[in-house]
Amino acid sequence: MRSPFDILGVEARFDLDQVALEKRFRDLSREVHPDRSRRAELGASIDLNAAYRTLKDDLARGRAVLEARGVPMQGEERENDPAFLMAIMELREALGDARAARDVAKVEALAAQVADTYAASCRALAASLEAHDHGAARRHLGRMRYYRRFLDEVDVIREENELA
Amino acid sequence: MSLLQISDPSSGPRPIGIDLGTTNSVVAYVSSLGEPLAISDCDGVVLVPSVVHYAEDRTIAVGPRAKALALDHPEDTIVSVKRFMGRGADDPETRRMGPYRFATSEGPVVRFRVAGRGEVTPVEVSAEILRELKDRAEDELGQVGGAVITVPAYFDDAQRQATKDAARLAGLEVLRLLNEPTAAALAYGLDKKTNGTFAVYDLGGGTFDVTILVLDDGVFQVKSTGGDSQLGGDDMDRALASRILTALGLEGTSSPSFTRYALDAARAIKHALTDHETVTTDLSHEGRTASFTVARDDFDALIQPLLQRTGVACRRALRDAGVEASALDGVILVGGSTRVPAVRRYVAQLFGRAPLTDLDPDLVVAMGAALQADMLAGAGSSKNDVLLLDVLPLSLGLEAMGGVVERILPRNTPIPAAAAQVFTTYADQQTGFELHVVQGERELAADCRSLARFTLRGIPPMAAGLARLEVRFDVDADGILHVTAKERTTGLEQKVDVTPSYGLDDATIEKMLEDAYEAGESDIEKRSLAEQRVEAERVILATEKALSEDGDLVSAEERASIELATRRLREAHAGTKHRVIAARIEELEHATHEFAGRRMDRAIRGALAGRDLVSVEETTRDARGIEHAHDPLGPSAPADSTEVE
Repeated sequence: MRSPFDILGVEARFDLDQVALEKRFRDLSREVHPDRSRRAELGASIDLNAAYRTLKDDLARGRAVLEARGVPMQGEERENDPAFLMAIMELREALGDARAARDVAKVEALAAQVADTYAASCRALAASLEAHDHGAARRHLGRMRYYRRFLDEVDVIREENELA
Repeated sequence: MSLLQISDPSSGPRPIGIDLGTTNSVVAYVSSLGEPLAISDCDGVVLVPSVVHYAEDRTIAVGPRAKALALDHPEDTIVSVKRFMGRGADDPETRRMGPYRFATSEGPVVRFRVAGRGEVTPVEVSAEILRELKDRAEDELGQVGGAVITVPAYFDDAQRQATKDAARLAGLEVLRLLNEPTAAALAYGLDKKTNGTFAVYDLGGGTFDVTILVLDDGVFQVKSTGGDSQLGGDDMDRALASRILTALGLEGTSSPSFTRYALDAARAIKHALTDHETVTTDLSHEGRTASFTVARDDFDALIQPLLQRTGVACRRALRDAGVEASALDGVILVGGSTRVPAVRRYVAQLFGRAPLTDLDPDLVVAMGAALQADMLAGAGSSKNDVLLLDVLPLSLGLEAMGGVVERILPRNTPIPAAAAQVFTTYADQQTGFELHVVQGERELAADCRSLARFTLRGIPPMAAGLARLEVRFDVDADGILHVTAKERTTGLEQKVDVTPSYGLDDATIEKMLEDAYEAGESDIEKRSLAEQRVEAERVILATEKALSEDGDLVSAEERASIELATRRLREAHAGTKHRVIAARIEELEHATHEFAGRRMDRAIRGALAGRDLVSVEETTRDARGIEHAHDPLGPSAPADSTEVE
């Protein structure tokens, strides 16, 4: 099975130029999209779309780099650090309270805080992959999942408030 | 130019583009010069009202004639049928203001009770509109090839499937279901020869879509889409119509005649308010009169909640695309409802820029559809060398333990797309596995749109957690889902192809097809007939062989129903209607479905000879045992499921 990096013909690294990646996706689509091909190229088009989706997404791309390097990926990255888990739990509680109170400013403040932390983890992930520190990379991926989930919930709350 | 085309000996069947709208529909084609042209009737009118009238004498009127009959026959004249496409009989839309008689409030399909026909479904009503458009195109072009039919980007799988069914009933070959905002962008982008990131804000009579897309040297890449398939100008009309009814002293009336009158008056007033600050109408219907005045400000306030709903969808689409409103190169307005000044103001404020309105919002979608049809049919003049890359509008998933949704393909995934996930059994000796396919963004399956339920049977009995059931979702370029499931442990792969069906039972389809059948077979009809006859022979042979080999597996009752279906298929085979044959093939396949499952069981048992067979018959049909066995397959791994709580 070809890696998403191979499919898109880009270097197997975390820091990809997303603008160039998109351009590459469009160029390759010209060749394999079923509308363009007389032959049944559905498989190639599906693979290209899946690879593009993987490389667009920070978490999926991080895992793809590890996979491309042959790092064993047993299940999901777990975060067991009690201090981290406690901090996340407190953030989520605060978000829940702000949601119940319809406190838009508080929701946005929490969102900004977590978005910053997520961005920092993302940079840390890039650095540890660069340094081939795969244990650290997996730990960052694990944390990013929690932040991502938090930010997804923020989106739901934003829509609730917009409609209210 | 028209004359030249007709006399052009090289011109075969021409592909067409159809905008099947809530309020109006349009059919267009691409001229030999590569220009998209909308087809007009003898009076030069391009818009065909999407209205179908059913008369007592079984005649059907479509378009302007039907529209003229709506006020006198409000219950037998279906307006805005698109809002009912792919919807269940208990859908909220059936309870909103309208003059119709619904045949039932239960079941997977809405049914209207109309004169001369008994009941009709939205698919049949839409097919009448499509047939009218096809006739118009044939008058203009001679022979019509395949069609690209546009649908709201936010249409779910059931709504898309219903649209395809309607086209099939109308005898149209569907080249592609194309999302309306994408079609508009195509027409717009080709016209302007432009590059950049655009938002398309498409507010029609019944549906709202927003799409964020990138135009890059002929490639139109949709980055995200969102909307509401039951939000549009009709809702503005309803808001105003309840005021009109109040003015007539008829608050909360259920009179179909007054409802139709009030909705029509509301629409006329809405249109007048586009150019006037205040509109006064002398209302008069069936002996009641009133003078009714609305200021544009009142109307704007009335529709404000609707606009806010579009705003939520727009912000979500921007977030999903990862694009700031300020980074857009333009906002394209599509749909008749974007003529309302308050809508334009709202969009300008939402996106922080004046929207682009230079193409006719009523025609631009059909133009785009015609261009796409031209390309797909291979007629593609190199001038219009473009490619559309679209996305899945709503997440697809399976119901997992506890009724929560396991997302298999998230919204805004580029299509065509596929993803697979592996599940296992949760009980020892479990031989059946129920799968519930849903679409939507909500966490609980009960809150999402249910697309299909099916049971995978014949899993070899083994200890819990050993079976490996791979469920694969494939979404094609029309945005339509196909599900396959197979059991992988034994190396004996079995496959269940699931085409979601939305409750039109075989008999209904057959009757619809018979009704739809028109005299005068074309070559295509003849070929289809030959093909269906061969297929019928194959199916009958296979059934007979199975019955002679494994006849002990069917009950007397089952055997009778299989024999009846076989007889009916033979009758159809002797006839000349290929659609009837096709329907009866399905009928026979349906009658033998369970039998086939049991034969599969027997085959697997044979292969696994030596295993304990006692519990094979305990097919746990109702088990909804969906547990993870392994990491998901493929590059499109769904998200984690760990949770801090």
